[in-house]
Amino acid sequence: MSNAVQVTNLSKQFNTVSVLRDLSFTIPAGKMSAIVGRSGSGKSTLLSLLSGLDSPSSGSVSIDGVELAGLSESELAKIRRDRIGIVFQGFHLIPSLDALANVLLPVAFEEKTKQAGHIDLAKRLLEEVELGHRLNHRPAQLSGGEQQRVAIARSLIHRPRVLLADEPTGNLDESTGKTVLSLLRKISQEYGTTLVVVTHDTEIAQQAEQRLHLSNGEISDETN
Amino acid sequence: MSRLHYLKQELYYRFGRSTVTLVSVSLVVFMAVTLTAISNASSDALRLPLENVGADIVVQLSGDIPKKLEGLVFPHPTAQLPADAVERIRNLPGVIRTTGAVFLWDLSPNKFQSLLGVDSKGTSGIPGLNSQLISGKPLDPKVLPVEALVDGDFASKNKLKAGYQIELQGKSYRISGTVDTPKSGNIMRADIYLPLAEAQLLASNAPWIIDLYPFTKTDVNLLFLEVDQRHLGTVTSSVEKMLGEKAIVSSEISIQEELEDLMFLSDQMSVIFTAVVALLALALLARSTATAISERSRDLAVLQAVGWTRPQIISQLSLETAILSGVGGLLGLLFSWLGIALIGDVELAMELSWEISPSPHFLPETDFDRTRMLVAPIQMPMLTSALAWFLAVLTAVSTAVLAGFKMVRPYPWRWLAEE
Repeated sequence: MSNAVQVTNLSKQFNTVSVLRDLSFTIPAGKMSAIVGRSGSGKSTLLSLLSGLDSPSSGSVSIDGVELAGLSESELAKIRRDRIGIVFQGFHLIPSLDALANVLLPVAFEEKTKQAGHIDLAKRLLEEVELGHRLNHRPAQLSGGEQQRVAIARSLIHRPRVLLADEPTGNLDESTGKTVLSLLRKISQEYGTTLVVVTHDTEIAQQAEQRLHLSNGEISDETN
Repeated sequence: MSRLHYLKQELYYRFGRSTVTLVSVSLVVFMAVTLTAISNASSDALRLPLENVGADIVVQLSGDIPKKLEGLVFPHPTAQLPADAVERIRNLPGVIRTTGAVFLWDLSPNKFQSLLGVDSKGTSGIPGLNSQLISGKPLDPKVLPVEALVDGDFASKNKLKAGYQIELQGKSYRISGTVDTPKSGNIMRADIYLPLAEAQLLASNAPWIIDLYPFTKTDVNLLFLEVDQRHLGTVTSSVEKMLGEKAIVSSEISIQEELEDLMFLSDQMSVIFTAVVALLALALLARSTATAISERSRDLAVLQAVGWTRPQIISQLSLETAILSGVGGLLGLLFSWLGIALIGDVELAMELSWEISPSPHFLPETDFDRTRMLVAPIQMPMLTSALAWFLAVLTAVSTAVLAGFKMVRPYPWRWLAEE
């Protein structure tokens, strides 16, 4: 089985504080992995390094066989656009755009000839997350759960190989959280996407095929 | 979703922010264009006296103050210009025509009036006066007994009109008509106008004039010259040389020299003032653009997170700003045009010196109004308009690019991390 993510001797320091220390692990392709740990354990920092949105102090991250270290800003952007989907705890939708336009945001610069196909896919994704009737609603007109579902649809518009979700249910009530998580699982399975969920919720972690526990800047594989 | 769709949504959604940028750009353009237009019109107004001088050269000699200011006297600093000097000036190369005049003050215990005797020829003479007739008949120097013209303001103040009699040193003259000399643009203005010969006769019999000068019935104390423009400089210097250091020779050249400082100051000050205001407005615009972009730091980080490159984000910001500032600039031009149309003219009240005034004003305490209202229309400065629009758009777009470079960092996680 190939690895979607490979982390080697990864460390991150903020000034004198060492948040992540010499982490090495792999995440298998096409599976759901959970990175668990208490608040402040460095889970989100790890996700920021996996997505190339922050740089490590040392070590390396490889996504879908591509080494992130040494890539230029534009190459990193291309990796995020082509291979990585990100779902944030705070949804991070563009407030001026409606649901459909938010989903289409990652492909805004693609050729016009591809746009029609993207629009069809975006609509289908929004239907899959049960928002087919809310295409033209702005984030402010949507509930938290609906916004997170729009964010999930956005993260999948370019069919990424790896989907990174940072506390995707963190700002949602329990019932909505469960719905969102099952959607994430369902769609990532459907698209053959590797799902990496960062969470402090052990119940969510139990659903993952791989469970990595982050504590005191160190990681351990707790998969049974 | 196209970039233009995003742009349109962003500008509409952030209406307040878009309005601030729009207003800032409008303000920059409005200030620059309107101030320049007013400044240009002010400069034009200051140049108007040059165009209003009736003769090309005015010649006088400076003289002495009479021992007693009583009866008919020469207004100082004018003195007698002898007939032979006039003749020599008339024969100078480049002189087309000379018009002699005698200007007098009539100082009585209870009143003051000015009197001008003018030649029967020339635009500064009787034909020029008659062209400004507002009532009555023109002055005919051949009519006997001698008649007079009176200034319109003087006539209304003293309740005079054509057909009435006016007294000068015990001699009565019938008023043939009234003239509106302030509007004529002629060089001289007086209360009463007589044929030159009559004024010469009066002057040659005035005790306090002949006490100072051997004035005869052929002399004058003012001489207007029409000259070939190519010889303006040489005639001026020849007259100055001929009459010596007491000569007062006023021409376009001397007027320009006198106005030079004033116009230079006016032009310079308006340029500095406009530049300072425009710079302040541009700084405001740059600040509002930078603030608008910094407020979007999280959105820009989201764009990076979904795969937009820094050049793509900056081009989007630049396009937004260019459209917004372009439209704002056009609004500024529209407001400037409306403002200029509303203001219409620039009016400057200016106290003119003798050299540039079409009116004599030797006696400040009299009713002679030395103040000229200079009126010049304000016009839309096309080059400045284009420049102001371009500069405003350039400033806004440059700021957007710089702010974009500052805000869009290689690693944007800090904007996306949950608190």
